[in-house]
Amino acid sequence: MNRYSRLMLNILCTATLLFPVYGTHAEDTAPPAFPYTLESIQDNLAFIHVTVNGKTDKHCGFIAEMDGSPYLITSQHFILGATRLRFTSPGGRILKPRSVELSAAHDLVRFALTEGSGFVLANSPEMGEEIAVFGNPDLETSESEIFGKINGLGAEVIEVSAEFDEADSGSPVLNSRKEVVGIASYARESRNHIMKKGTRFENRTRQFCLRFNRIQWKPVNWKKFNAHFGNAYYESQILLDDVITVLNSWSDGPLETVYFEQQPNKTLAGWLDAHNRIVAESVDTGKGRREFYANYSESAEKLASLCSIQARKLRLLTEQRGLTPYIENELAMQAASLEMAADVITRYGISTY
Amino acid sequence: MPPSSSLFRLLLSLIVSSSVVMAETDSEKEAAEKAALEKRLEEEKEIKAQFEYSFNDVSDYLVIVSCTGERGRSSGSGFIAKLDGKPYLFTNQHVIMGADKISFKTASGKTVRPRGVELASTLDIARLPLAPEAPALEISDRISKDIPIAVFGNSEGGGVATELYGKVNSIGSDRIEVSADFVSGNSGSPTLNLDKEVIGIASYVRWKTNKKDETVTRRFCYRLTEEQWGAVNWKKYNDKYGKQYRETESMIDSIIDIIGTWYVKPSSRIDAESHPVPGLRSWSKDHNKMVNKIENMLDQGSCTQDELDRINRKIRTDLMSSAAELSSICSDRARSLRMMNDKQKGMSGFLHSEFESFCDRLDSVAKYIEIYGHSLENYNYFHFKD
Repeated sequence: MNRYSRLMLNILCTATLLFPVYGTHAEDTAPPAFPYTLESIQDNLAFIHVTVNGKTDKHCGFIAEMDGSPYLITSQHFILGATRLRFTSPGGRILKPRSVELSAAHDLVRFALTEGSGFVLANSPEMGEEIAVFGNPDLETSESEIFGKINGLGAEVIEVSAEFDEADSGSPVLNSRKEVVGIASYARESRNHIMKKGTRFENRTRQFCLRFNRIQWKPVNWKKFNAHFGNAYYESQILLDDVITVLNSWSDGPLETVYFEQQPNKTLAGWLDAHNRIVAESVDTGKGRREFYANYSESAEKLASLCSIQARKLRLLTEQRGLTPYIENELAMQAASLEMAADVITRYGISTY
Repeated sequence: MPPSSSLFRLLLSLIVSSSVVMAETDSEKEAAEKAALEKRLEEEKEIKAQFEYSFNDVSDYLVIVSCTGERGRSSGSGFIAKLDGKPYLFTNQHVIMGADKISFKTASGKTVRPRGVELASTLDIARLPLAPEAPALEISDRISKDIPIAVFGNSEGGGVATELYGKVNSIGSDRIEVSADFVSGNSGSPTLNLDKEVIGIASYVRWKTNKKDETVTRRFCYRLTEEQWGAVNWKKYNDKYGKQYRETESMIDSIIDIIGTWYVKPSSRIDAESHPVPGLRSWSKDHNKMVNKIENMLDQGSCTQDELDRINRKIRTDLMSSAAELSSICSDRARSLRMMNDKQKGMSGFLHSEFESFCDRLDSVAKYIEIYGHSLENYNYFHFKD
């Protein structure tokens, strides 16, 4: 063992508190007596067809009764920035909601329906209760019925052992009485740590579902809200994804050519062409080192500035009226990520120079 | 077949067989680990079967503690129990220390609103008084070795209470060691016996690597009955000491990261230019400027041996003084922290010992960086091409 690792070990081995963190075994085989099947509840499932920039994706949702009225429920982040929304039942029946209400604090949206019935919400989910996640039957990538148990209970979320994936997000999580105990929301990979060695938390992915416990719903003028905040959320998400693509390319080396699958942001598309030209010229013509470095550094600075401008725009939006705390938090997190990306890119440019 | 081909074949078979051995060893290890985990889970199931009550019977007393502070969000665990006839929300001091906002919600979904904060005089425990009529678990000091226990809390800060089972491994005057696999986020979880009584609060994990390179992990819970408690003005106390606690903790974490980066490559840039500790921030800026200067020399073109030696000497001197500067930032911080720690009378025993431990760690790190700086005496950044 070298001196460094010995020192680190000394530091780490001093009584380590269970510092609060900053994010069981699956029992996903069908329980022998789950009392109903997907077919028997299909009428209460729904699909949300979301079109953005001419491309349509299909997401899961479901119909539940709240305060005596039927609502179509799904995750908010699916629909933010959408240019068109369409709702269908698994049988292809068109559903026509009449209004939109956003959860103030969570990634949930409900659309009021004019008629019909839906699932009943469970009163108090219990630890160990058998559940089923009825996922997206139209997607080949995911299972349509995933069984498990509740293995974690919180005020706002429950944890289940049913191993649903991203495509099932928005699906209902039902108990054996066909009641909704939550909505399939996100999976979280456990961070491995020496204290988790040999425990159920090592190399573990945990599945979480939002509960419908004291949710505050806020009616919005969807068209206006989406134009104002939804579009900003969507374009920031695309920008962030692309910047991560650039940073990943750069981690292979500064002279890597950068590719995006599709780039709706014209400024970013222009930057991409210009940057790849700088790289190609350096490789092809062996331009002077100083000139190349200067061009490269300037290119990085332009990308950093794109991120900073978007971050500023988001910061301004977070100060505006009409935001829900959930969206405000999402936009603030995007702004922070873009600021951090701008900082990393600037330093990368300087270091290359 | 020509001899060279035979040799090639032999080498290939050696490589293939060794990789097969490696693969077998890896998969054997994986299988053994899987079997060990399955055995543990089976044992846990047997222990759970001995409990006549379930998680659902106590979910109203289990608390998810969510904190927001300068370092972002964090969460831990807590529980509601009666001590000396009064109901309190118990958690660890380190869960709430330094937080700007704290919320307490039970696993069943109710918000808990404590009326104040009292700190244990020596151990890492806080109790927050609740309304007298609040229903609560009972606390007991009847503990014997090997009794079954349950730990219900917010494992990994997932925002949900989970159920873990185990046994009491050993008993001390103020703490017990248990076998339930609690992890980060479980801090503040109740440790319950078969009679639904709290016998401890899950507080910390220790680990070490033995001679066989195996990790040995031990989990400890503090007992609640032997402590003296002191009420504090939480806002004042937290502003004065809690923030300092978190800042120093983050400084030590960052310095450990810096050492990690620097040790791999002496001319590495250090990512601490926006660190909340001003000394570390300005050191990082100066250090990175120096590294930029070094890298700009790459464009200097050819030079003589004397010039190369001179440049390398300059780089060595700069790197060594950067190490000396960082080392003195650590030891200065340790000194001022120690002075503060010695003078303050209003701090809990837990914070005193934490600050003392921070000082020791800062001194160790300062010493290490100093030694590292000296080791750069023979470091040559530039070489002639062979």
